Amino acid sequence: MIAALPEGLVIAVQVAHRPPVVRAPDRSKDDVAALVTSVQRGERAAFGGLYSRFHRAVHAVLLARVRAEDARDLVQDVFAQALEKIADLQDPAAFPGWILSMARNRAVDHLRRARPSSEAAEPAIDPPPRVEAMEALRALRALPEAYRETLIMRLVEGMTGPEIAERTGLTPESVRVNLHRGMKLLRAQLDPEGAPADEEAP
Amino acid sequence: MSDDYLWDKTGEPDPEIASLEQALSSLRHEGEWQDPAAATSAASPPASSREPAKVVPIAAARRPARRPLWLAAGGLALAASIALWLALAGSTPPDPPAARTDPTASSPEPLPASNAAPSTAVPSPPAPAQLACSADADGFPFEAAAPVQCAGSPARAGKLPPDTWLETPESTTATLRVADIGAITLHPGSRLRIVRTGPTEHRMELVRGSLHAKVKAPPRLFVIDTRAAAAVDLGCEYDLRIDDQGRTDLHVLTGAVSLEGKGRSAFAPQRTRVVADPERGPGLVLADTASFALQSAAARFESGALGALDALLRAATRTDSVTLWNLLPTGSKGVREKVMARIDQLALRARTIPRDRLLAGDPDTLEAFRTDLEDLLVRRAPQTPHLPGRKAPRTRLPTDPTPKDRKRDAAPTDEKPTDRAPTDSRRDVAPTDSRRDVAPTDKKPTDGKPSLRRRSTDRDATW
Repeated sequence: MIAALPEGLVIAVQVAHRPPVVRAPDRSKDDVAALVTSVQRGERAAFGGLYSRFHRAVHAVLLARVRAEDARDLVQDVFAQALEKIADLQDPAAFPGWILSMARNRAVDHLRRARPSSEAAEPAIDPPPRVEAMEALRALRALPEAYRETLIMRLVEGMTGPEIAERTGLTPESVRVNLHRGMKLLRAQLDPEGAPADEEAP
Repeated sequence: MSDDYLWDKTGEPDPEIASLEQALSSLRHEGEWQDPAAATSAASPPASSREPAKVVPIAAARRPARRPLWLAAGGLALAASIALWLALAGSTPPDPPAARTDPTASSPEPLPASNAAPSTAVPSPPAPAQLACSADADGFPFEAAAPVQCAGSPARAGKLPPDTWLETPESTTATLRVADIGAITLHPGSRLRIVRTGPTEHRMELVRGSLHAKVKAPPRLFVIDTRAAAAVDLGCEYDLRIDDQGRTDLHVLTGAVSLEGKGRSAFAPQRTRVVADPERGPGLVLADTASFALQSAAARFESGALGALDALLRAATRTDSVTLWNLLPTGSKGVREKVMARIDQLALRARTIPRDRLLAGDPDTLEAFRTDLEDLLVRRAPQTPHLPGRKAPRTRLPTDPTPKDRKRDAAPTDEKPTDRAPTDSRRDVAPTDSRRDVAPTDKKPTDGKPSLRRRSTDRDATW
């Protein structure tokens, strides 16, 4: 149990531990593959279906790395880039991992181009997020990557575990582990004094 | 803790996760795919967008502009203009008027008895249906940049009579003047009606969406009902939002609001937030500056985890006195004593405020304590959210009293801005002195009248 380890070791584990990434037999794989194939054949309207299924996952990947305002703008960029390159995608069923990878690369590019000082302040977005939202987001961003992305998909984007598995290509088991461990780390981040969480009222 | 809720949102919601979800939902991504090709051809009529999608070779796909949403916004504006034109063209002959009370309302369940309005309210007389929202109707004037639905018919401006629904589409905001006491900005996707209006009360009901209210009126003259609670204005500016689970989220910007429902009430002064649950009524009032640890402990406590009280009290600081004050008269004796211990630990209670009377829930003593806290903290509270790892800056917000305001408010009463350290000596407070209505009178009145003066209503209950 990570939570039972001494504090210093927990940090080391957070940095070193990479949750298992296992490809899953995706239930929606066929649907997604069919949409991808349709787009590759030139049916642009089918791309709207891909967008509606994946925009939150893409946003979560971006939000895990860049400012909230930038993440909103970059979602459209990522999908535009995907539309441009989708003809090159050999395996339509690989679309989930492909577009999320594209989102990660786009975030890295964005951070590389952005001035270092711009990361310090989160600019205003409309509507302005609540203070606790930004505080929680900071804590989420401090988590290891896999936990971070999975938890943002769950807590920010409102996706369920099975949905996350479908949209990321991870197995449901991996997603469950990521959610469980990530939530433990997040609780520790938000309340280091470790309030007793399970003392229920009589 | 069961992981079911974390996994697929089934089972008993974990309060901490639910609290995180609620807070973080404001960052959730919403949007639709804006095809760059469609955006560049936005000049075509919107009807074309309903035609079957054309097959365009992907090789022809162009890289969109850096900010294609701007183009889309332009397209939407054009579409809205055309929709407005079509609506106006289609209104001759006019559509059958909608009923004054919309029977298809998504709507409102009967209000709790505790929300019943005084019988002294004077409802306006009914207007002919076809004139329901015309400028000649009796009601509150409203206007919007694009058509909104008033009594089920599109309108950009007019008057909203009582018992008639005003609905904003997803892209439009409407402004509503509330008698001569203030204004409401009804945000997109909202639904509002006037329940009754009269000299003693202006009561409205929000069943969906959100609004911003700015009211300058005597306390309790303006009320907004929701399914979960009634927001009773005490002279202030606030945001009110109904979330997708029917909870009412109140954020007070200036002044104060009393959120009342399900037999509970919460006093929310400026720069605080309180959420009312449809089943439980108002929860704990939390300052904007409240730490996440406090918020999460408060959520656990509200859901019945008494063990979270210790964490809540541990996380509460002097700037969270509003939370402690609201918590004080609730719960068992043991809970109240714990809260009182924390209040004393933070040196928030003057020696002249009797501990035993506070513990007994004596209304006058609680009121005196609230006023004392207000004096103690209103000018000492951090002006901007305190974020982890940073010192709270001491910049002044537009809503804060200026030195001129302070001088004006203090002039007739000899009240001085309070800026006391926790260990400062405290002003003597008579235990039973209802200081809400009686200002200190140690300055001799110059006009021969007793110096019975309330503070200006819009600042009456500031904290």
